[in-house]
Amino acid sequence: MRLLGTRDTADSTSRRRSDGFDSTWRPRWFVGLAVATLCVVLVLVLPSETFAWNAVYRGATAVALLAFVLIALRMPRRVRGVWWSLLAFQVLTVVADTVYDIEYIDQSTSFPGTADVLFLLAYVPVLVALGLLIRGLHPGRDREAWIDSVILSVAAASIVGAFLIAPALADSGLTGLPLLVAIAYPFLDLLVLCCLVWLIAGGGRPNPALMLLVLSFALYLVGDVIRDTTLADGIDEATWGWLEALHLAGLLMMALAAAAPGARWVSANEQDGSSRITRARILAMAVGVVTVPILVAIRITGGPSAVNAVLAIAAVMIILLTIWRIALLVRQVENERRITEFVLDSTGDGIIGLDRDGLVAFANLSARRMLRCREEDLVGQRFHDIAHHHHADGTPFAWEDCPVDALVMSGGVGTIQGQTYFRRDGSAFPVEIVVSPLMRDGVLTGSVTSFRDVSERQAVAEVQRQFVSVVSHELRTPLTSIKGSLQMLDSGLFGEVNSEQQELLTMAVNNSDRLSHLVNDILDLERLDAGRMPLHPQPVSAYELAEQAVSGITGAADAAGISVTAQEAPPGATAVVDVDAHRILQVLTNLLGNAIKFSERGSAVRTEVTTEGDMVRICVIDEGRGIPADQLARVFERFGQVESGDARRHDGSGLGLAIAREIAVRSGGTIEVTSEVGVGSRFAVLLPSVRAGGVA
Amino acid sequence: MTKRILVVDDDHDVRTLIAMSLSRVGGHDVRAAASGSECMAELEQWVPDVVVLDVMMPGMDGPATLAAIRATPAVAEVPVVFLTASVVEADMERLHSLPVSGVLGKPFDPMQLPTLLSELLGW
Repeated sequence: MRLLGTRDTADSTSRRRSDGFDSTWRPRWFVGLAVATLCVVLVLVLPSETFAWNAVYRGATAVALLAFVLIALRMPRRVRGVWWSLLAFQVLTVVADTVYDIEYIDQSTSFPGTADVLFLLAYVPVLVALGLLIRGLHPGRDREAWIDSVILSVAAASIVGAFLIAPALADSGLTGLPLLVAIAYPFLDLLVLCCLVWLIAGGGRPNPALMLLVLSFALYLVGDVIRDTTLADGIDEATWGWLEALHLAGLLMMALAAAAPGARWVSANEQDGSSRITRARILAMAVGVVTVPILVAIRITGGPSAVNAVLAIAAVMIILLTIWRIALLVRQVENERRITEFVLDSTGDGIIGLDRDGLVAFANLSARRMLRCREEDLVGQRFHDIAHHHHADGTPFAWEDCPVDALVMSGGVGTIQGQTYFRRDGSAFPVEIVVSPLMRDGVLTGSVTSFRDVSERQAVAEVQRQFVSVVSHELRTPLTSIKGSLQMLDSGLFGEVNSEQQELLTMAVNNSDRLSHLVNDILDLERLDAGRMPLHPQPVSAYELAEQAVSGITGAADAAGISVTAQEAPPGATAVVDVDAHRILQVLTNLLGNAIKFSERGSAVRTEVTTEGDMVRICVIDEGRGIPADQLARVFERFGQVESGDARRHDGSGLGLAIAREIAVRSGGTIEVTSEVGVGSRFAVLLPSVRAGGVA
Repeated sequence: MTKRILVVDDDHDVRTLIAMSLSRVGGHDVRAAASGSECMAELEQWVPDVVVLDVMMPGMDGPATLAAIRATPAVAEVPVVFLTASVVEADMERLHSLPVSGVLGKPFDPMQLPTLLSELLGW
């Protein structure tokens, strides 16, 4: 029965999950299922104990056993104990069944016989296998699953025992050892049932092999119940057929379980370790809890009996276990509530739970502290009316106009800045608010609004702003005097100066310009870093930007003896970019200034505009000395100069390209450079283009 | 056309430079004040065509002086142009939001200052 095998072929390995757990159903498994179903049906429909019946029954049993042996022997070490125990159970059961048939044929059937000893012995490996499964799937002490299992099993056993097995035992007239053996079967079945419920009560990943195993045992248990209930009257032909069919079905199902996906991790401890409380489980427990006392109440009218006493004990046991279970549940809920409360109270942000009407459902400790409110001041009240009733300027803030409540109502997610909350004493503080929807079963029930006091952040920002403001004032004021005085002297307004004086004057003007640029660059970088250089993008022609930049630098180019030209827009060409024109002009001017600085007198610098998909490329191309390939990346670094001394020789701060790149990136674009030493460089500014209807 | 200009700046050198630029390059009639209070005292005796007002000054700063000018009926309508060394965007936005004719930055080119002022005021 190689069909059912789970050999480690390359094919099966490839289909194994990345975490090592195979979960693929194979076609040959379904072939096995079809053959097994056919065998069970044939056992049911063929005349009992005929050659054909025996051929099917014995043949299927032998093949299933052989397949089980082959599969069990190849199981990985971590699940080998389970499958080998089940193999022992299968072997014992088949042997016991055979012995029973021999005793039956020999007319030597007695109760209890040799077969009963073997059948009872078979429970040992079963319980070992179930124990191993439970230990693997329920790591640690899962008391809840254990209690639930006992309640459900005792309830189920009480019903079956009271209505089916007990009357049958009473009518059988068995006494002594036969009676003990007859009682041992349902008792051991109760243990098996308890284990099965325990197994399926846990959480974790669904395992097809485990489910098939449980189903297999369920078939065995149904067979046992039928057998127990027919003790008194003897087993008729039809019942016998059903018992044999159930036995074969159980055996085949177990073999199919061994070949099913998940068999190799059937007891692997990769579960989440906690039993899940599902509605079905609670309902089943409730039925169990209610049924047994009702059963006792019904039966007690029939007068005292051993069965009633057992039932009464079962009822008391179930009631006590239920009380214990409820106590554990209450403690668990209380613990979870405390943990939730602890986590909520430990966070520094204020967290407010709002229902869909904006009423407060809960408020954590930080929220209460920040608002200087008690819980009872908040819960049930409209939060807007308590903390958000006015704007920062003191004008009333209607709830209907509140953006936070609009988000709460719509179930939206968002961060809202620039808001002001008011404390209970009327004092105000600036907040940043984050709103997240609260969903239950896919239905919007409210929102969680967290807020943070940003007073300190604003104070720090204000200090930084003041620092820059003061520094820029203190640096620029003397520069204004120095530069302005030199420019006035240099203008000749106060009379001509001799050539030496003019040379000194020019030197002073140039250096004051350099100092002025450095101060401006440093302040620009600081503002870019601090995010205090807001850009105001507007659609503008890239050709116009290039022309303006060229026009602005013509004076410097003429002085350096370099021709600078802007590419004229071809007829019909549109290259509109969505940028802050003032800042991009700063970028282009900087690139042109660099090109002029590093070009030889008599060479040319030009601009070129091209469109590339959603971007417009404005290039500044020079015929200068070029940049070595290994230095290309450095040119955009702060104070990055190709050669040390460039800054002094060319009056550069070493910050211009860094600023240009920052502005280009913040405009949604970038700057690229290509260069060849001795040939020239090409700096390209890529900017987002605008097409009809908006930004591309 | 010669205009009367009152220059207010706490920095002596800058004040001198502005006054020299506006008088020598622009050919205007220029008076100077070293503080907001001096400015108000000067305005009691002399009504200029424009006040060129520094922003950051000890005591009464530029905006406070502007408020005082606007609150003085005799000179309330006199145009005011701020001169600032600040590069902080928020400062610039705040200054532009005030009732002034314009905001000029430092450092400036003294040879161009009279032209800039004329363009701002439509002279």
